[in-house]
Order: sequence, then structure tokens, then C-alpha cells
Amino acid sequence: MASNYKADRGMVLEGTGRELIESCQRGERDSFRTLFEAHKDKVYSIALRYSGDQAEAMDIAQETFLKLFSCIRDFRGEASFESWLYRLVVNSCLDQKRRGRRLLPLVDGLLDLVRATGEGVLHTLLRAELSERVRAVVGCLPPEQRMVIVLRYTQGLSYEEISDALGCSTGTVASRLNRAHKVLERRLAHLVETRGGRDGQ
Amino acid sequence: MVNKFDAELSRHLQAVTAPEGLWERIQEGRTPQRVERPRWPLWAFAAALAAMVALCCFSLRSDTTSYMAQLAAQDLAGGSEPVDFRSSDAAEIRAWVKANAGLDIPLPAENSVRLIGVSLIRDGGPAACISYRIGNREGRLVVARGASAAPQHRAMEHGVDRGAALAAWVMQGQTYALATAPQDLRAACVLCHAEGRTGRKAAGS
Repeated sequence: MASNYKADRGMVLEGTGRELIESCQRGERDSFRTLFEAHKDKVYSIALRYSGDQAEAMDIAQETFLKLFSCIRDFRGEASFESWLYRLVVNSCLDQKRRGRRLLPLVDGLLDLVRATGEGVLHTLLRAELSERVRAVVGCLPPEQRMVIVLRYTQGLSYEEISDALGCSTGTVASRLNRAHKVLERRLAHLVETRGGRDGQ
Repeated sequence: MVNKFDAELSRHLQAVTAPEGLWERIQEGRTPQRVERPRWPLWAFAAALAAMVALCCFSLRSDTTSYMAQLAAQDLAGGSEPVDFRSSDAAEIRAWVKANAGLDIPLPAENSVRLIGVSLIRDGGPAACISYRIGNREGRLVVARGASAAPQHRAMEHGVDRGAALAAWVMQGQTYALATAPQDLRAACVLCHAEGRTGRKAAGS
């Protein structure tokens, strides 16, 4: 059955995922919700780590899912659904123009503090400070490099998966990652070393 | 390829859970919320704009120079690291910076300061971070183009960060920030001035 489907539509989806997308393509409301639940954390995480702002991340995630639901009939399964979804969220991120509201590191720092249980508050504060610096430096990267870093470290994608999502070659992905690493290394080396020293103590 | 920051980046950029309410927003299909701003009378808007411009002219310089000084101190604290362009020749560095950052940094040839090379920093506009050595101690000189609203010259400001002596000034529309060992501050002035002057004279005033 599945092979017939692939032959007819060129789809590479399998099993439940394929059925879910088919039912979304038929406009079944419950299926949209199921699809949303399956992918909401992924979409929101990319949006948040790219934008550095919760409100912007909500806007990006909302826009991505609205695009997804309105265009899902166009999905032919020539690429994997995940790649297609990544392209949607990447485009939404790159399209968003509003900048400058980067409050999340502070919020995260406070959350880290609240969550502190077994470890000391000082240690937690240092960790929160380091997180803040890391995200701030990532936030200063050019959009293409920032997106590669987010896909690599937030989603753990391979070079091939990132190249699929961005529509570029793996060589370009490697080059962008390399350039981003150089910048991050220059800006964060002393922080990481300091943290290592503190942890050692 | 394993980068030494892989673990740190994975930790600090880890995935999160989407907040409650996202589904409701999608169902409503509403456009992203925008802040409704009150409609001010034109004169009030013009007055506020004029006040902001004046405030920016007053504060922009200081903010930019202190930020650049922090960048210089941060880079210096990072220790010896690869530079984008390695050369001990002042003319070569000048040409490279001009070609890659559009900045003209005349560096006099001076034996007491040994140039190591230069890297580009892209925070907003391009800036050049010149690494040099005096004796066995390293220093950094960060140069960026000043904002259009900023003055062409501004006297040197001093500070200390991470044990490094900082000096920042504006000269011919370019912002300079120096991070160096405290005992090398005067010697480092030859980076921009063959005479090695400090203070207002060194700032080009």
C-alpha cells in the first residue's frame, strides 16, 4: 500500500506520519492539532533560539504553523516532512524583521535560579550568566550563521539535514558553521575557561 | 568535526517546550500582536524627536567607545588566539583593514610595539581588532567607524577592565579603543602617534 502511495505521489513518508499528513491535507481538524503537538516544541525552540525573544518566537511559531496548515496540500512528499517544516520555520525566522527585544536571557537566568535545588545559588547564577553571554554572542551572528548554529545545537541536525532545511550545499553549511565557531571562540573562550576554573573549584 | 564549544553550545541553546497558548493563537489565526501606540500631535512628535536626537548626540559617543573598550578588553582576556590576517607590517595591516573593513588606520612603524595581526569584529558595523605585543605582553586596539551623529574628535577616556588598562577616543571620525597592560598604556600610544603622547593630544584634540 505504502509503495503504491509512493509510486503515485512520490511520497517518502511512512506509516502514521503519512496518514496524519494525508488527513491534514483532507482538512481534518483533529489531525492539525495532532501535527501541531508533534512539532510545536521543535518549531518554538528554533524560533526562540534564533530570535532570543519569547514574544518574537511566539509570532514566528504562529506564522510557521499558519503557513504549514494553509500550504499542507502543496506538500508532495518529495522531501521529508521534517525538512519541509524546517524550511518553513527557517523562512519565518529570516523574514521577521523586528529586532532588539532580547529579554529571554534574563528570564532564563531567573528560571535557572528558581529551579536551583541541589546546586548552590552562586553556581546557578554563574551558569545563568554564561548562558546569557552565549546567547547574546549567538544573537550577534549574521542571520545565516545564527540559523546554522541554532539548527545544529538546538535540534542536533546533521550537515545534510541543515543543508536540506536551508536549501544550500553541505559545503556552505560547513563554511557557515566554521565562521560562526571562529567568532564564538573569540568571544567566549575566556568565559568558558573561567567557568572551567570555577567548576574545578 | 568536533568543536570545543559543542557541549557548551548544546547546553545553552537546548530545545525548550512551547508555551501554552500557542495553539489558541494559531486557531484564532490572528496576526502577530503589535503594540498600539498613541497618536501624538505632530508638534509633540517633532519635539520628542528633537529631544531624542540631542540625547543621542550626547550619549552615543560614550556608549560606543565604552562598548568598544569592553570588546578590546574581552578579546585581550581571551589570550593569544588566531588572527584573521597575520602580519607585523603596519602598511600590510593598513591595506588589509581598508580592503576588508573600509577603515583607514595609519599605523606608524615603531620598534617598541610589535604588531601580530588583525581580526574583524562584526557587531553592527565592521571593526578591526589589531593585536600587538610590547615586550612579552599583548594588547588590543579596536577601531570602528564612528556614528554619523558622533563628533569627529573626542578626548581620551580611561578605564580598567579585567586587569587591563583601557583607553578610548575618537579621531577623524573613527572610534579607537585600546586594551593593554597598565604599564604599557603610554608605550601603546605609538600605535596611533609616533610621538607616544597621551591624553588630549593623543586623542587628536
